[in-house]
Amino acid sequence: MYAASQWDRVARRSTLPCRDTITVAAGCGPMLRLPLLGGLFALLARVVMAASPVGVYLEFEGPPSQAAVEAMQHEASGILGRVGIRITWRLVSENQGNEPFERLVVVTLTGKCACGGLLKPTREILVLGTTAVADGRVLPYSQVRCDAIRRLLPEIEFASDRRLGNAALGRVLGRVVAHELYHAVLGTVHHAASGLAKGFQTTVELKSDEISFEGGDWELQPASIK
Amino acid sequence: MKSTLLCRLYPAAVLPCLWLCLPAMAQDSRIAGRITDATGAAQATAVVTATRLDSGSTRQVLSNAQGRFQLDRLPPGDYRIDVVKPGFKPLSRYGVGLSPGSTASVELRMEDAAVPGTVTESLLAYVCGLSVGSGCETFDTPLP
Repeated sequence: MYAASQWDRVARRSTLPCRDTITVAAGCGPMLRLPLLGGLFALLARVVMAASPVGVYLEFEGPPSQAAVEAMQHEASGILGRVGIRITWRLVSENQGNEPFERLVVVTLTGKCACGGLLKPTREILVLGTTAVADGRVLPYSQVRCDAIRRLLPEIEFASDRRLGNAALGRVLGRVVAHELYHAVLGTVHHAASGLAKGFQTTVELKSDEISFEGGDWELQPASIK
Repeated sequence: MKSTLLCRLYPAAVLPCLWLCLPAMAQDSRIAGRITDATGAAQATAVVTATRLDSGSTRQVLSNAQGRFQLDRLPPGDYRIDVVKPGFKPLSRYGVGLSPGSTASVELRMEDAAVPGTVTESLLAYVCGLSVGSGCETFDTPLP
């Protein structure tokens, strides 16, 4: 009972205006203030410096459409967020070599990542993305082919509203990126029978309202990035 | 009255904050280094992994344009450093020891892969009409 009433009072104090709180704290003397402030800074530093789960470094062959990049990041983050993977996006060009991650993946986007280049549509089977494998080991390096996606989706490539076209392109790019991250983060060469972990996708699937991984696709993910 | 209560609570907050300070100070060890190829040229965008041997915990960092990398705030202990980059043999350096507050400097020279790394695990997409009968769509634009 005593503890509860104490905390009630503390809770009421916490509604004090900021100025009052600061004044009261200042009255407690520097001997107490300094360690407290030091501790708070240390806590903040630990939060800021703590490694983020998965860092994805993007590298573009040519200048991309900003709308496409934003839509790609939004789509990939949403898909991976639903399986418990949090992504921190970075650019290779801005890498200082000192930001730690639990896992990191380099994704190179080849071709022109913006609609409107008037690429010839195709009916061929095209490779949209790859992840490097060496000696049977999956490496954290993926490649996504913007030109191939644009050739497969002429309604995006020839969109009259360039902004909407780029947003649609970005959404498909995000799905391809999410698929490649599935390989690169899990270190698996496995493909599922359905969902986004499937090795073959139709254009209809790629453009569908929603596409996601199936329940068991990410079961093997390391605990550190959950 | 208000002042009295908050001042009483203040010392109670100091101890947890000090507790938070200690590990932050204890972890102030780092591994820094540079990645080069066999000719000594800097290798950017190599993925460097530091694995603490006793716990298995890992931290990764990407080498910068000068081939340099730095991992700060590592807990003291023994580490293994692994470096990968397509086109090069994976490289490991064992026995990198970190004492509290120390910095370990490592120079890592990667060798060209004898066989260029294969690239697989593609996401293929195909246009409806080739082999799938359902869910197909017709392009407004004539296809070649």
